[in-house]
Amino acid sequence: MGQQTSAGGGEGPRGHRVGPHTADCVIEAWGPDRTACLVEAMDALVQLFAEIDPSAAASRVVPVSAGPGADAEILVALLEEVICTADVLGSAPVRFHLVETEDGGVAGDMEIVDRRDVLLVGPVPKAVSYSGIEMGEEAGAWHCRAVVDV
Amino acid sequence: MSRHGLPVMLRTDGPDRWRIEPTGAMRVPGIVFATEALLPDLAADQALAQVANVATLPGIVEASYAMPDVHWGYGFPIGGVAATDVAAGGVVSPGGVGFDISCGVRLLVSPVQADDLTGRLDGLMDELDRRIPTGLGAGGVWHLGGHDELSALLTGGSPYAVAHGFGVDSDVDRCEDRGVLAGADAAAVGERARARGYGQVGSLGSGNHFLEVQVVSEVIDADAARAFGMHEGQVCVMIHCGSRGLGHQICSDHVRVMFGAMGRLGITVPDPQLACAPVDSPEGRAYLGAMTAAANFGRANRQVLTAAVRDGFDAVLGTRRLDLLYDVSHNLAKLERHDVAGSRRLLCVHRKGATRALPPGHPDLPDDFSETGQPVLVPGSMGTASYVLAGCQPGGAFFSACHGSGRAMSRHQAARQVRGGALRAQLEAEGIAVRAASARGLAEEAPYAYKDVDEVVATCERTALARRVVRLRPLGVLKG
Repeated sequence: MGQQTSAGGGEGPRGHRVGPHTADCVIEAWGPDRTACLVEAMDALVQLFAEIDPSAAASRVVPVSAGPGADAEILVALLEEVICTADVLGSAPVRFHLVETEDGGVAGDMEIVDRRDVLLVGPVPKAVSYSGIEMGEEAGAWHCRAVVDV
Repeated sequence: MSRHGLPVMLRTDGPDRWRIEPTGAMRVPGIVFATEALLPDLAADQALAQVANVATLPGIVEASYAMPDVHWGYGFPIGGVAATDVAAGGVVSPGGVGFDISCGVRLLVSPVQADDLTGRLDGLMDELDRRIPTGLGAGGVWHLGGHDELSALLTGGSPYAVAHGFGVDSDVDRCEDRGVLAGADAAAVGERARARGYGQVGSLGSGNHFLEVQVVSEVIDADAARAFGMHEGQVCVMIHCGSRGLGHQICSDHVRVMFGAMGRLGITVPDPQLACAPVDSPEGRAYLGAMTAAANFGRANRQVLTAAVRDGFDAVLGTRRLDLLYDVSHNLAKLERHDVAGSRRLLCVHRKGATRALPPGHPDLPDDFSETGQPVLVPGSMGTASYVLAGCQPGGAFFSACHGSGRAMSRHQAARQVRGGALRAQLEAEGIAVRAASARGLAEEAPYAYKDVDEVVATCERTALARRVVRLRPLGVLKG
């Protein structure tokens, strides 16, 4: 697989990696709960195209929410939020905050940095495919996978 | 939703032609045009399983076809062609068009000879790099006036851009469908798609999209080349891009709608990205209206970039005379009439990573191309060749041909083999000037990540999908 980032090194309790697909990219993420897994997936998506100093100050905060619905649909909706941010605001998020909502969805925000704080390191993702999308819980750990069109 | 796929049993079906016999839910066979070397690796690449999956679509006729550059996509393979019979409940599938609706190629031919660029190529590439927005947050050449102007562009396509100063009237004559597809429904384009497209009119994007300054390195069919206004040593400009974020969002939005509607419609598919609905259904009509709007956006986008290229040539070389040879999409579904089993039928022809290739004498051709056949523009990878082909008789796969060289290696594999800086130095050493928005993006598009374009187009010629006219090699590459 490609680049990997895990809390505590190795395949820790939460983390993400990006891997190969013939024409596009695959992101995988995992975490101890659903929101951690989703945040890791959003981080992985940003990693595909942007390098940002983790301590960079946010220039704006954008609210995000998804669901209620199937876990995979919530994953797609959140990844699309990142993609749209890149297209519409011309920049990238550096930090994500998500919590579960009472209706079974998730809600929170993305901290967006100024474009000058983004080093473009790869092609900007443009869509998430429904082919091969996975998100679920097994033995108390959440895992997800998505193919991203670049 | 999980990964699905039908088992694939491949057998030869004539020279450079392979057949997947219908099994399970397949309604028609799969037909692959390829040499053995070009066939996707069955173990590592799911492209042929995707050819089989497409054969399950309701209303599909003849076969699920794959062009010589076929490779693994999502839902449909890239390089796939499938037609459904509208009157028999045939479906339209957004995945059969692809995310980048009306992604396509246009080729501009100039009076400049390659020798004229000696000592001026870097200056020209710098000027084009300055004028052509690429990468993150770059915006577009054309700053639209508001919601209504975007709606007008979505229904007006290239002619709308020309009418606003981005080109000349003769450009429109050289575009597929004269630059605008009828039936666009701007109201079917969602707000998020609009928001993504609003600031991107006249932008290249990233990924495999590019603008190349090329030279005609070989004339293969002298008569057709003459008719196309092309000769050896001539400088040309190839633009490869599509409908940007707007098209991607329309695809995403309508896949979601169709996926939710398939239960009610009684349709099952082996892969969620094959979500579909009958052409003659509210979901099908809504998608086709929005897809057509995105196609017009894509065509206007390439038209606006053309104007920027002419400005760049004028600033550096003192000429704006870059005549449009042709503009053609390779990601589109079109309603076309074809003979199927002896009767004329209205079909919804999906070409995903495949180029329409009308033969000489076809009634839809402009007069300029009635004797030569339609120009088929085949971009290679930077560092290798691109081609102009022409449609020929008898044609195949509903008059379709390849759209590029086709990926053979994943983006990660490519980027692991060479760093962007080293690749740039290597290309510069070969005399190719490179301007790229990101180093890794450049490495992911390295020439060796693609199949052999010479073999791809030769296979098209041997299987009578299209014939070769000229070969071009890159002088300068601008990558998003």
